[in-house]
Amino acid sequence: MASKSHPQRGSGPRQPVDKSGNGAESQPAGEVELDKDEVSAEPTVTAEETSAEATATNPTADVATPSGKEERQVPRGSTGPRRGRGGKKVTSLRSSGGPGRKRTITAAKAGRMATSTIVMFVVVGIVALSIIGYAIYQSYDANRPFGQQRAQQVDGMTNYRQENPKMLSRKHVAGNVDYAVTPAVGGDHNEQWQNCEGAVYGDQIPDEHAVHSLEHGAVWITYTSDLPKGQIDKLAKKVRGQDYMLMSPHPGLKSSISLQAWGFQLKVDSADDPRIDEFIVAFRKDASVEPGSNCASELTATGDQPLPPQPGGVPGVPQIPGGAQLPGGAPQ
Amino acid sequence: MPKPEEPDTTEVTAAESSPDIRRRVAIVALATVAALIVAAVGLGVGLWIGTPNHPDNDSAEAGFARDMSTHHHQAVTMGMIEYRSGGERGLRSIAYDIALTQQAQIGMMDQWLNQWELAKTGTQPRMAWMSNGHHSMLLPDGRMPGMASDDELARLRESLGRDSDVLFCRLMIAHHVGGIHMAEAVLERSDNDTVRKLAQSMKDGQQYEITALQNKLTALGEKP
Repeated sequence: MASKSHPQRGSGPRQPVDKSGNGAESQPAGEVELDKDEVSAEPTVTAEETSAEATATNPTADVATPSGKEERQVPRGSTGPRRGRGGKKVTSLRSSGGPGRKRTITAAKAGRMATSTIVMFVVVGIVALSIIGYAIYQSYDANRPFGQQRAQQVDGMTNYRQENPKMLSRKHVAGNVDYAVTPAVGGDHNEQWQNCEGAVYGDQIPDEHAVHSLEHGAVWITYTSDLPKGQIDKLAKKVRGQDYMLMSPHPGLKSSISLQAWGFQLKVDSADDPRIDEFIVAFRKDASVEPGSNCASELTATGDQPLPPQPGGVPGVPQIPGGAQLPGGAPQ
Repeated sequence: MPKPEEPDTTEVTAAESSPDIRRRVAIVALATVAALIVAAVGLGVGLWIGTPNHPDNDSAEAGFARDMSTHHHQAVTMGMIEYRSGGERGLRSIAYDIALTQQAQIGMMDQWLNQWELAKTGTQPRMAWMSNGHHSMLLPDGRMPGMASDDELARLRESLGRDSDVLFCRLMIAHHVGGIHMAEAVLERSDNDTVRKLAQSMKDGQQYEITALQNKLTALGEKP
């Protein structure tokens, strides 16, 4: 009957209600009262639970009548707590052999009403949960800090931000710093940062200055001084013309080449290792712990000692300084 | 407290229970499936509408943001040098203006990339997004057009007063020409309003600055 006169799904649920309602306009109120009295002692069940239950039991419902029926009859009440008490009531009725006609009837009618009510709750519940869930996801997503959105991970690299975050303090200090890692990947550093505008240094530069460049987001490529020139040239090509890049030879490396970003290090043995580019893509600028800071610097000098405090300015730079040479040409 | 009406409902029980229940169950099942479909479609539409259509990693917009940032970075460097060691007061103001403005614009472009969830570094060569598959537009040493060489930067660092003024004007005019060319390239390729707005302002602003710098050169007795 329902399917014949109301082919659309939307109107389907309504049918049973009309039918049951036609003989008893006043009934719902009475049923409601009854229901309420019987149930009032039981704990309240949330709307989510109700719709979840209905959804969960549905797939099998068309076959298994008894259980399906009992579940479904429950929520009839727009009156309040839906599933728990209703369900229990009906169940106990059946098992006890139906002590009272009145109750059985009530349950049947309730079932009919419940059909539409359940459907309504299911639809509204699912749609509402979807919307709420999506809204939560959106606000969460929009507030994630950058760096968590993209995977910053390169095979074989060391993540000192996780392993040893304490060593990554950021104080300005004069003189030498005893870094835990060679070359340094972060920590206290000199107040002057090494120029990192695609700077290719032919000689060693002090870690104390380079670390400050890492803080600004630079990727620092270091290599052993005996690395073949062809390999060095390949590295230099990745650096020259690229702001937030610098490279220099470095003593004491345990691999031919070592790449540093603030808190990250990757050791490789060949300039052809594809992970070099992966590391640069992952961390250049994006590893900055001072976003927006710059790589321009007068400091282009090489050496193994950090600059002492210079009230008059950088050594070699006149009063209104001309600055030291940016390293140019191919590294030696 | 209305009383439940017993008599009315009596017949219903036996007659209707079995088929009626089955139908109800079927309706509920159908409706639930329908609801799930509706919810899934709704969620899909919501995601589709709600997820911003970001430029991808190899887009002109991303390439522009990255390359123009690097281009700007050098303008900041040169502006800071001229501000520090230039001679002519008005020119030092222009240099100050260029450095601060372009540094701020770098921040804007960085933030685009953040919001697009893209790295600041592309996986394609510099300016590949401009070349339409043709050969690289980069200078032999890898610089983008308009950018000063390491030697030119070193000379600027060592210059003072009038020398710095003249060299700064020449380097910055060439730099702006390259920048305008890049801004025009993204204007030809992008329909992203945010990108277009900034690119257009760069093109207009740098064109005016070129004129201003040429006027300074003339005032300094140099050929623009």
